[in-house]
Amino acid sequence: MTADPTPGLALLFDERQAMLNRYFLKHTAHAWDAQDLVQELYLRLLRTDRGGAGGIQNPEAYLFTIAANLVKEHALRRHRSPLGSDELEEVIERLATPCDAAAGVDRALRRQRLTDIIGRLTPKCRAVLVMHYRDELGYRDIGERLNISPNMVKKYIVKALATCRMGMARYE
Amino acid sequence: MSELRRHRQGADRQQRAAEQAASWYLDQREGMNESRQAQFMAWLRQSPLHVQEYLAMARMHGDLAAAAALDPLHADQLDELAACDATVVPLRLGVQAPRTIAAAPTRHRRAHWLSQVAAAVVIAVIGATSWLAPPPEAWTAYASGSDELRSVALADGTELQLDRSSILAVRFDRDRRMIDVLHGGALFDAGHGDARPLHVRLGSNILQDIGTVFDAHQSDDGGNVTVISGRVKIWQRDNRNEALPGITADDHMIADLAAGQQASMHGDGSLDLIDHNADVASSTAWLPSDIRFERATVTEVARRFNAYSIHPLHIDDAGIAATRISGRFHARDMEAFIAYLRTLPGVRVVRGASDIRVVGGSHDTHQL
Repeated sequence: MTADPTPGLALLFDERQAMLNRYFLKHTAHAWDAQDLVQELYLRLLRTDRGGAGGIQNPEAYLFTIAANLVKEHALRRHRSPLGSDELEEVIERLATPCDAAAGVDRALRRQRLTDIIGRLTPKCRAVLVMHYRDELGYRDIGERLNISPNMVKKYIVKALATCRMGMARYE
Repeated sequence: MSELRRHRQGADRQQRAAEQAASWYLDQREGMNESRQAQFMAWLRQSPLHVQEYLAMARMHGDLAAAAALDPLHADQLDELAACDATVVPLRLGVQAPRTIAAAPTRHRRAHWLSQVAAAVVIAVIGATSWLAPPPEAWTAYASGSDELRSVALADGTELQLDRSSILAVRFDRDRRMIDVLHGGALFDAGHGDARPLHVRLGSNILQDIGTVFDAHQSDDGGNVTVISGRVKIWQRDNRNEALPGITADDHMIADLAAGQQASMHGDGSLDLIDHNADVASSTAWLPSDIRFERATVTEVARRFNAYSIHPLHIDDAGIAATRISGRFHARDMEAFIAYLRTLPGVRVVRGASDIRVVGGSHDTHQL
């Protein structure tokens, strides 16, 4: 497998972002030791640069696609059951199905933990985060409610996200 | 370099990477031009830590809407909470200082870096033990809707019954238990057996609890406190010490209430009046009119009745106390519950001047 994702996969990523997100939720934590994935992913990013990173239009899609490919390769090695198609969608389908129930329990637990962490954020961070993700308010609307600039709202969200991430990392 | 310091630096590095990842992730959702995309790629390539944090952010992001949806506060309550930010967070000046700085939005990276140094200096001044101590617990907010009462059991055994449309912020640290009444009011049934003092902040007043059940409500023109049992001291806060926790030398006590007494305060925390024979039933009229319980111990049920009566019911006999019962009683009819208890084998009821005690059958007491 080359580091360069096929255009087909990149396109698939764009079309199936929600599904891919679910896929990440289910697999990156369990299917593989996260550190191995990150190291391998990082090496591939560096290698890609030698071939010219200038051509990559969407680094995020690129990153996720390589990650998906790495998880897929890993799964293939582990299960030793060759899949007939390289199509990401089918791989996702096959990988996702057997552990749906476990994933559901995991998800509920993870969300509860995240809720607890949100509850312990500083008041402004919490207010801004909940208004943005639950009430779907934009930076400007939130800023008007709290009497702060939209830019400041974004900074609070960044701070809140980082705190949530650090809190969740303790469970990993 | 010590292990501890290395660990600390690693955590700081991860925190910074997580913030950068969050910022990039938000930017990606908003759309980025070609040169920003190139910067993003360059950032990813700087460190595996960046890759790790970006993936972690992407994973967590999928859960955020669902997790945020579980937050009990309405948007209006969040507004109010955010407005209280400065008064809620810095409860312990020393250890809190770094957290307060960290909670402020980063102006730019250099300022953030400087604030980290400042935080480190503050911690170093406090002493090495602060490094070892777990990070101070953040406050937790509890809120009730406009048409619901809410019961909350805290870790120390304190039970709160929130009135409608109320917001309370709870924060326990090494030295004290602090509850802020941000909006509305609640019935406080203080947990015993915790050595840390329990302070309730009610507007410009601080209530110091001494093994008590009491009702505290906050309105625009001041606070109102009714003691059901035990004692509550009320202090007027010195405004200069707004940021300081608990009671300071500049605060002064304005009332020392016993069971059945009520105090009203003005907006500035000064005493309005004390009613020595308060109408407890009307002060607590908002409480649920019945008490339901399923397989609860007699002690637990008695405690719930005690929220309504200035003559608390004490269960002295361990066997009776641990007996599990199910049922439903009118909350203001403790007599019905006592009558029920007397149907249990070996139960005797002793009425004193200030309380009612349930004792085992072997005690030589005056039985009613």
